[in-house]
Amino acid sequence: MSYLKIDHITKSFGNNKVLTDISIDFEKGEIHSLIGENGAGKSTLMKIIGGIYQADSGQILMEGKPVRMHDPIEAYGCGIGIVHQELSIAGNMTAAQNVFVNHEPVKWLGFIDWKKLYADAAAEFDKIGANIDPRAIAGTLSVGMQQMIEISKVLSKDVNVLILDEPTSALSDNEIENLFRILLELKKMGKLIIFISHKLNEITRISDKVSVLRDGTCTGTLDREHMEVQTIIRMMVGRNIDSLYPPKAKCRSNKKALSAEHISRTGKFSDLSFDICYGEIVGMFGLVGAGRTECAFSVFGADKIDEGQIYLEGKPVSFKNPAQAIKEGVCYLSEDRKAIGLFVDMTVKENTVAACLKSVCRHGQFLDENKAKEKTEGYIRELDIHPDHCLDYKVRNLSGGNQQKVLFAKWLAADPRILIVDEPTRGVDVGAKAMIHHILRKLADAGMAVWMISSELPEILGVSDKVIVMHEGRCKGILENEDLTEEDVMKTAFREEAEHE
Amino acid sequence: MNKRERIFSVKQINFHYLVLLLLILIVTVVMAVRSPYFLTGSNLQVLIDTFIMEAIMALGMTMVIISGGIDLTIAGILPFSSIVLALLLMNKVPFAAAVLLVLLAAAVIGTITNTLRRSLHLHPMVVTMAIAAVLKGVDLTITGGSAISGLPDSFVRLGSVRILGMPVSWIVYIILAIIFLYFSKNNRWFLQVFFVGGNEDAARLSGIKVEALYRNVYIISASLAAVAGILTAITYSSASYSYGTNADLRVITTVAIGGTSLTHGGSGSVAGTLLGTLFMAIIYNAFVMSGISTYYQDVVTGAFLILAVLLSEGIKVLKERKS
Repeated sequence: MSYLKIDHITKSFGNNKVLTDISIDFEKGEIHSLIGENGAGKSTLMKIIGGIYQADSGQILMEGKPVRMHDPIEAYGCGIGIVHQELSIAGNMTAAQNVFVNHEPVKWLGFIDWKKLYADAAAEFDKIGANIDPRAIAGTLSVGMQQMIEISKVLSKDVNVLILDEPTSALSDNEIENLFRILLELKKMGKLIIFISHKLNEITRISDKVSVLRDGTCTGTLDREHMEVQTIIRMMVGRNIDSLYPPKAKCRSNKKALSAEHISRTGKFSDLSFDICYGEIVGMFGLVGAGRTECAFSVFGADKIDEGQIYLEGKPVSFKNPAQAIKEGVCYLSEDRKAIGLFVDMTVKENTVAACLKSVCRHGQFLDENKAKEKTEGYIRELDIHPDHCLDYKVRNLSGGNQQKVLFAKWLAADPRILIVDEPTRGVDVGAKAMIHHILRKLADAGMAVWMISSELPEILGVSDKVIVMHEGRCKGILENEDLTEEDVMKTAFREEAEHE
Repeated sequence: MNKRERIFSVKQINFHYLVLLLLILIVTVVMAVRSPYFLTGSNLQVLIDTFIMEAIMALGMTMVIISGGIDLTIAGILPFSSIVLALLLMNKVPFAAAVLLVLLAAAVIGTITNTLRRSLHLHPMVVTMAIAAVLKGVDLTITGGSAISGLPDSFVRLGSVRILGMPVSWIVYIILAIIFLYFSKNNRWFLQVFFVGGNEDAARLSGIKVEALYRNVYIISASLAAVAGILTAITYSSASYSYGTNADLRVITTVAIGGTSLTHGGSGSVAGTLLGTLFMAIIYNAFVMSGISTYYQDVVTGAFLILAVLLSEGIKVLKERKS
């Protein structure tokens, strides 16, 4: 008899069937991963286990007994806690207050027992080996630390089942390592950990079992010994993705599109020099905080450059704002699509024309409705945005992968010569990811210069023709991507300054 | 595919329009039954005249609110403009020049509003409230608390000019309303206001010159308040610090009733504001007709403001539940 069993769960929202007859067994003391494309139903399933949604039919059994949970508090009662993808930290309160929010230790008359609060929080952080000052203001801590606080918050309620929804998407490599150490620790303590992620390498590394969801059904559960990347992908997308990455450049011209010469921005990056030619994809690799996004911002005119010069096809330029850059055909697809990329409460059509309004307006001033529609429909087809009649859908209602495609549509509609893409596949499922990589290659083959910023090494190696390696605001080397290995790149990133000179 | 479908789809707020139209209809029918004078020409004229200044300012306020801001300066600019105009005219400045100077002053105030907002990183509510207070103080200081009358005859005569049987203020409003209605759906600059209200950072990275846009939005709002001030002076042939008292509340309520969201920018419409204007004008008139003290008007305006927010947010919540 399994510890937690979900039994023939079905769930619909309106006419939209999200989960169909899902059954999975979970055991104590295991890390059980859930994987599936965006919209496959992972988050819905977790919300049902966590008591946020109720299943239409089917039941949840704990140690053989059916349990019914109507809200997260009842789920806690059953020993189930969720760490959501979007953290719910109160930024202006201390770490300890966040851990014990709503069940602070109290004294007589309901006054908070501050001493005990901080001592208890310290004990909780100790339990998971997190090095956090309970008195620190939560908002000043790194995302990784905030996540530790969130985990402590859930664990402080004495849970046996810990659900983590895409916990690593915003973490640096070090923070991910630390998280995994904690998860393995908790597993040893006999807790059940349900881990949702898009990253196959993480899943195969730490899980004991992996269950794959596709279109609201469970296509199977794999044990550790059968956990092969190709198998998992096949179960996820229902077909083999033969070539995860597109072929390399057909013809790289030597015509320089964009050159940076010794550009610096105080406190962000210094003395960067590189060239990007038409027809090639230049990958810029670096860990979080390497100064890649900052560099792109400065080139794009969203920030200043303190020293150095940028050349566009050999002509010196300095963009005072993004509008000037876009006019010259330099476009920047931002890494955080919701915060600074898309207008989530506006429609797909409005988003698509946002950066090219002039081109869909008569005399540049009055909107030509048909032109805007045609343009958008063209991109919906070309980029295979789902659903295909989403012209007037709010972007908020699309899945992550499709939102990313809308962001691509917005920038392709602006007709760039040089396209800067910042983490183009973050939070996107395998299918959409492969598609985006192929699009980038197609654009480069059509003559565009593509500058791809990424912190995912496999992506950098799989897609780029040339790799700029960044570390702590400096360029540590520019490597041709011929038989380049992950090790080569990492070695370059961490090589000593003296050696570099 | 409907050719009349516009990019900032009217579809999503259609339900809101229907509710408003229904309310307007109900109030009209009830009033027409209760009072035989309600639907007479002279009452309709009163109905329009009492709310025409708010109607003009609501056009600019709609754009401010869609951009994600708010403008309380209008209640200060309206009387200020009437007073400045009166003083200029009494000092023998030609009418056209005086009007231009007043509009210029309003544009400067709009620019100051935006500059303060941007450089001090203050919420527009705080900045515009402060500027409105300063202007009201200036008004009182200049006039010493009494109305300015005895304006040149040529100006006084403007008050009784009728074009196609309508006073100047009506004509001005009709022209402005048509321009705003058409431009807000089709003009590139107006469309950018929606983008900036929807997501300022994304708009900036999409090549929209956000700061210039904010500045222009506040200039437009201030200028329309000045137009209202000038028209008020024409209507009453005088200028006073007391013109436009609480106009900010009435104008914001009108815009909110029309379905433009006060809680987040990027959504709303001029068409909605026009309906909201009609609704508010009828309600105020219904008060007068029913003999309810005008003192209660602000009570009801406040209540409507809450109702409007509930209505638009409620529809949103219902829709999200459905999808």
